[in-house]
Amino acid sequence: MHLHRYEKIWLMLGAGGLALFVVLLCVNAFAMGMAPPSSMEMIDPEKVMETPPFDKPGLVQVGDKEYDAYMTAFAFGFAPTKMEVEAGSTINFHVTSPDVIHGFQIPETNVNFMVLPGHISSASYTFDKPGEYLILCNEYCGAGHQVMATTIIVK
Amino acid sequence: MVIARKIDDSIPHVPIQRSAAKLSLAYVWVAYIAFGLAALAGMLQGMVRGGIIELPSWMNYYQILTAHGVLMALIFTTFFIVGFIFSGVARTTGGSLHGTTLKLGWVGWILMVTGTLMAGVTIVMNEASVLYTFYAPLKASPYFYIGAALLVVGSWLAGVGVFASYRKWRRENPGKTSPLFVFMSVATYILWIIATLPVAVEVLFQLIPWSLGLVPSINIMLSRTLFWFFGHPLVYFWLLPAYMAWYVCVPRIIGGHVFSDSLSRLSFICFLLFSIPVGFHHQLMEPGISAGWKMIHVVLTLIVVIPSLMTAFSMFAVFETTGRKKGGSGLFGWFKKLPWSDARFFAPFMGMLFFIPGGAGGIINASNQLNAVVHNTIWVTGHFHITVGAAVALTFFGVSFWLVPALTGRRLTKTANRMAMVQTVFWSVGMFLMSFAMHTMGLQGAPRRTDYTTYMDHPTALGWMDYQRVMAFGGGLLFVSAILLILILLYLTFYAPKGNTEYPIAETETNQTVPGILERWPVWIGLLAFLIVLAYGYPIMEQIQHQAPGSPPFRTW
Amino acid sequence: METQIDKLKQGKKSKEKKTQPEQEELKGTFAAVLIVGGIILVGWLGVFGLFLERA
Repeated sequence: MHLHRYEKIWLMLGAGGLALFVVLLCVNAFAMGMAPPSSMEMIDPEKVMETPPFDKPGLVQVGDKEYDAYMTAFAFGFAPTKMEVEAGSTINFHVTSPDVIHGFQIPETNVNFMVLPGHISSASYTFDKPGEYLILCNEYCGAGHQVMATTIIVK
Repeated sequence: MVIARKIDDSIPHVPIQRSAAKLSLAYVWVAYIAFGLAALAGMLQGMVRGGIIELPSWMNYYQILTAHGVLMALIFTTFFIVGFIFSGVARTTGGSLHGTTLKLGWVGWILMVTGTLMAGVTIVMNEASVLYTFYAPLKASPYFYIGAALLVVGSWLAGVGVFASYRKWRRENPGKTSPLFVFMSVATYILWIIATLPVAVEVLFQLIPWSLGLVPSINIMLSRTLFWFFGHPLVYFWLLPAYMAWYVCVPRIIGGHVFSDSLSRLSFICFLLFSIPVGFHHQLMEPGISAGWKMIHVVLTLIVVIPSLMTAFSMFAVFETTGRKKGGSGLFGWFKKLPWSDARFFAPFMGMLFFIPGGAGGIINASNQLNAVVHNTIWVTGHFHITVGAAVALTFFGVSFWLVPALTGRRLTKTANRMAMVQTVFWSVGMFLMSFAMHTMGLQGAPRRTDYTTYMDHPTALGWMDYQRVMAFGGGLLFVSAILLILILLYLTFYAPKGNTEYPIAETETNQTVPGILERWPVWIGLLAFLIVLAYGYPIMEQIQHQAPGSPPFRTW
Repeated sequence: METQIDKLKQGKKSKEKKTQPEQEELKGTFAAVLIVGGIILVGWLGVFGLFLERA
């Protein structure tokens, strides 16, 4: 098999570029702790509503400007419906579904993950800028999928 | 022009025999009927999402979204690919298909059409608004899943038919290297059959019994893993036939040669090996899969970029060598020498251009944590509209402009060619506008697969509205293009003047020896099996042993 | 076993054959693929930047 000299250079540059991407991704994911949300916790989807802490979805303060948000994503909404924190707060989201698959996304942040029945998804985000942040479902979940949203108010 | 007409009338190869031509045409036309319906559904969606129209109460946005996805991504592509490959195998193995292949081809066609009708009826009855990814625990009518299974089984029979032709050719031509088109067809079908095995397992052993109520619950994680085990090679099943046209047909159309026989084959072997063990890159934002396993799939995914880099080089090299022979000089002078007014070249070329941002976007999507920026946003919809909806679709259109007349014994007239050029321009401009708007909105967080909504007039969502209108406008242009295409194809099938049309198959300029190892399928399948076990063995075992409590079925539409 | 022998044979063959025109001018091709590579690089770094900015 014969490779033209330019093709050899091109493939080497290409492979080198891809290797560079992999290195950047690995450093950022594993050394800087920015790996994608990969929680391994599980829950019985048919008993979400009676399993603590998801029986009472809400914000729990766990430190100075740090909260755990236990949330349910269901057809077609999120619970709790109202959340308020002061600017600079970190929220650790823990979300599960009692019915079908949902998505959990806060536009213009990196908070974006799937909510699978039987699993608890987790992700953290620090809300530095005040405002009313939109949380929306970005996985098709049924006829009312387009209304499935809530907000977080950051003061 | 006189010369062109002369070439039209005497073609340098045996025309494809009627029996094979009929089979191929039957597949191609089902593909385009599905395409037409899907285009209508797609246009309606665009208009709804753009806030321009509202659907009547008896129609649901997600119902037409399901129809669009299933008909375009599964029916149009699969039928066209099967039909195209049958014709090309016939063309490169002496002009005909033998009895076994024809029989398998027709039985496959009947199964696939039956499956399509079953799935279609359930969608029309609003019993299957689960989109073309049919994620459990959304539960469609069992007939939807059975229809999908029949579609897959039918395509397997077509694949076995191609394997039979290949074996026959090798028996009759001992020691010779197989025709490049046939080799690529075999690689494509091996990829397809291996890729569809897991989704067949999901449908047969998980979804059908569960949707019939025979088992109460389903392992969601496993069903998703099996789906994406299939879902990524599916996109390569769309792409490889387009690459076949690029590697083998386009060079002939522009009057050039295959750049390198061995490298073309090698790239297909790379696709076969590395497009399957990579499915977790579609599941990067999910719980239940560890960050380490995700990263392994990400690395394997990036490896599959390399054969596409090879393809890019080969294509430009074909263009440059051909253009230079026609007198093009300087760094890019050859570019002007390409046959820009020939739709058979222009359409696939536009497809190639779209594949540049398409490929770049694909690398971004697969880049582990970067996926958080775009996951399930409308960026992804934009991404696969410029890859399968432009790169692949435009190539298939370009192929159809000569394939259909070659099969019906007619000619692509000058007027038809001009119409085809117009159609290509409409498609390209429409797709550019629509996908540009989609990519931009996606980066701002607009979700995919969502009916018109302002999220209670939330300012973030209101900021997307202008782009949604651009998207709808692009969708309108695409629909006009789709109608034009159907008209052109009707003309080429029934009304164009009789004559001979060349089925373009390029050859290498000089005699190139091809390493025999490339054709030792057991080696590659063995290596692929090893990679699959490496990438999926442990995670799937874990998903079965430590599974989350199962989910009952839901119907939420 | 067979495969290995075959590989050796192939190795010899590919050494023998140098018929393909190496001198073929592919400067334009090289420039074109470099542009493609540039698009990939710029797009990727752009989204990586966006990701870091949003973290």
